[in-house]
Amino acid sequence: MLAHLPRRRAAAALAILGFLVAGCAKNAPQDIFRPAGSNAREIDDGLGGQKYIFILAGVVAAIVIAVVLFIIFKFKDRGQDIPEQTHGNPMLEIGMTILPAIILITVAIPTVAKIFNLAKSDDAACVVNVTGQQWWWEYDYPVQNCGGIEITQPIVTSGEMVIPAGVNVQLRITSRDVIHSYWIPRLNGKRDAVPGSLQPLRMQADQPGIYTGQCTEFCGLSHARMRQAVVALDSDSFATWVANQEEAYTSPTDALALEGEGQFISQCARCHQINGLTNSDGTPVLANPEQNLVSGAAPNLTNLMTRTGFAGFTFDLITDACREKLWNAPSEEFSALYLQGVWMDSPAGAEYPVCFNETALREWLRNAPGMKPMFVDPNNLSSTGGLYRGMPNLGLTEAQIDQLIAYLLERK
Amino acid sequence: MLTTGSKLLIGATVVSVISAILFGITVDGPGATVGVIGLLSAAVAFGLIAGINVYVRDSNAPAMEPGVEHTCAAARQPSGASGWPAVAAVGVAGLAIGAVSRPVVFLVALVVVLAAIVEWMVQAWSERASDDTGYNATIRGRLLHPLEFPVLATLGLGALIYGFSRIMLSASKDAGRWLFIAIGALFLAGAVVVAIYRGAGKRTIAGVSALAAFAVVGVGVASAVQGQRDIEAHPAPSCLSNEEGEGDHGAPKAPSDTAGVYATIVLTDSDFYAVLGNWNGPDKIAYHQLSVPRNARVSLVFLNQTSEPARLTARLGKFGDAAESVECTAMVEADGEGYLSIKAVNVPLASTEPMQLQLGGEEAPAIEIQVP
Ligand code: HEC
Ligand SMILES: [Cu+2]
Repeated sequence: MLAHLPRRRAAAALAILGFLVAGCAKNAPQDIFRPAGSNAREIDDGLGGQKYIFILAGVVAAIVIAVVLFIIFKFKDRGQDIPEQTHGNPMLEIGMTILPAIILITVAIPTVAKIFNLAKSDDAACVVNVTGQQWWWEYDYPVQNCGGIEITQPIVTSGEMVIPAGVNVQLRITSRDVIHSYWIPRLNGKRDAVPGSLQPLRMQADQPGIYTGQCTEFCGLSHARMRQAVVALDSDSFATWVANQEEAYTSPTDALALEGEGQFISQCARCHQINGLTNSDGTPVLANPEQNLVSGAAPNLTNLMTRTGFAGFTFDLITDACREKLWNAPSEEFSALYLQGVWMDSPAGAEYPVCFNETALREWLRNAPGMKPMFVDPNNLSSTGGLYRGMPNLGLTEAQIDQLIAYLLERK
Repeated sequence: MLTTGSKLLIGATVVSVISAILFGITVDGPGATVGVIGLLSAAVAFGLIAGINVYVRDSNAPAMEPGVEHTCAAARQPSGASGWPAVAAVGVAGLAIGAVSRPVVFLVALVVVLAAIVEWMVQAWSERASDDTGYNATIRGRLLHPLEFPVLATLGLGALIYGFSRIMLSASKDAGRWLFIAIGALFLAGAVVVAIYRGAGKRTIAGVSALAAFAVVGVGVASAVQGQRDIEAHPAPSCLSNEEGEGDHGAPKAPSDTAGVYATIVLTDSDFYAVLGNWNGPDKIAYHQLSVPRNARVSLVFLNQTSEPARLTARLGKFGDAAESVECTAMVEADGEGYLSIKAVNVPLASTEPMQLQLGGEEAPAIEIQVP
């Protein structure tokens, strides 16, 4: 049938079909119509929920489009007489004002109620500060009792936010440079991250699992590579995660990793903090990101290997096969698998025997801006007073990278 | 005979060729080739147009008519003297002055010179366009008005606004209030009058408006000469003191933005603690440490629930040789509120001074600042 249509129309039809088919995808991890927590359900469900409004809007759109099409074809100029010219039809005009007003009021009342419900924060049992910058998210957990689990020292991580499943978590969102926007479609709506301001957002996931999202406010060069995830763990696993994040630093014993520690201190520590790392004279190694980066922050790498993605959750620390395994794991098994992270068992028949995605991390250390475009040309930093936006290419040798990888593998 | 236009084009061709040669000889580097190609292209283009122009004799005279070169429009003398060369001369002088004094003078002069050249060229061209002066003026306007009107309007408005701002700066605070009430009322009255007496002539309104504009600019100039009123400088409060000082006056008392507050710091007779903002947790937990993200500016609200004035001081660390970073509210009266925005650039471990919130110069009680 398509063959009979002119080519341009066929292309348009195909494009529309493509959109429709995309809507049927089974593995759509960012599908707003598959809520996985109480806040997303509040948005999705009930009177004024997006489901019904979507249908209502669809019906209105269908009627309007049908009328427009009807008029276009019915009154097309075929040389017929000009129809009778009239001015004004009070009944029609009043009707067409009142009907939309009624529809909008019907939509508005439950929607506004929902906005108030979503803004409540008195049932939140845990608080996480979320700070955006070009082009990754930082999460820090102040000292508190988080859903029954004591956090005794502040925890800081990036890319993936780990929360206890079933607990209402209050996010307090801000930014260090430009405006970003935090969005986990299956858990809640979007919230802008504005420098100097603090925006609240509730997060709750019913079941352990990983819920992904991406920055939704255009924020510069690598906006498209600024992704994020919320990882919900069962309560015990969350406690394990917290305890692990708070564990004291141990210097490597392995010779290669020990050399890596030295490399890290000389090459990386000016931007990246590793808590507990000391110089040979015992003084702490402290990062000065404010002297190197526009945002004044770089991801804290103390527990890098407890994450499954890096650089704005854009690249995987675990191989594709292991990611499939983790993301598709039933919720009872998810928490344990996530805690194993890069040490998970690789699925049988997978291309690589281990889950650690060494290729990606090596590539990052070899040439970070080659993987993710960033403003890091050392000869072109005059507009920022010598500060980078992102991680520069450090010109490391393969031997240095070997040492660094060995060292980073122990940051778990 | 060659017409004036043809002479101009032949001249332009020759100049382009000579410049191309000179450019090629004197300039080195990657730009040289591009420059020479550009100039030669210009020469070719000018040459072509010059040829056509010579052939068609400026297209406005049948070439065979004898003696036409003395009667055609292009051969007529300009209808009057032009003021633009004088303006251009002033501009060139400005260029010279600007070159040795301030770049802005040079820029303004450059604009004047360019404007004069364009105006002069168009005027010369339009005055020879036909022997109908009215028509000539019309085509000149069609070309230049879209350029002249916005520029003149901008300059005129700029002068008005500048005059206004000078008046505002020199009038005292109280006089200013009455002055602007009066001016506003006058404006309104004028508008009402114009609205009621529809018959008022265009000229009358224009005249009155022009007079008002001149008055504003005139008074503005006078005010500018007189200089602005003294604007009090507010010294910063001295953070490490509990005494009320000069800097404590005139500080904003009630914060308006409470939605974006990072934490509320509460001082009571028995306690000094922080409550996290945007989180009405189960029992509004009172923390004695406050974790702030590094290098992110956050706002604090200070509630002084005692019967004495107090100052909230944030000691944000001393890193290396830099001075200790300290920020504070003004003295907050009993039962009052203060506002403070803070930024911790590095972690407490890197600081040689404690990082904490405290009351003025007193080291205790304190709320420890943690920077993860
Ligand atoms: C000039 C500052 C700077 C230096 C030096 C630097 N980095 Fe980075 N690094 C960054 C920034 C900024 C990011 C975040 C980039 C992004 O995701 O947009 C980053 C990201 C990373 C990440 C991903 C972390 C995550 O959780 O997403 C790793 C791993 C990393 N860097 C390792 C290193 C190592 C190893 C070195 C030393 C060889 C190093 N970096 C040197 C600035 C720096
Ligand atoms: Cu962003």
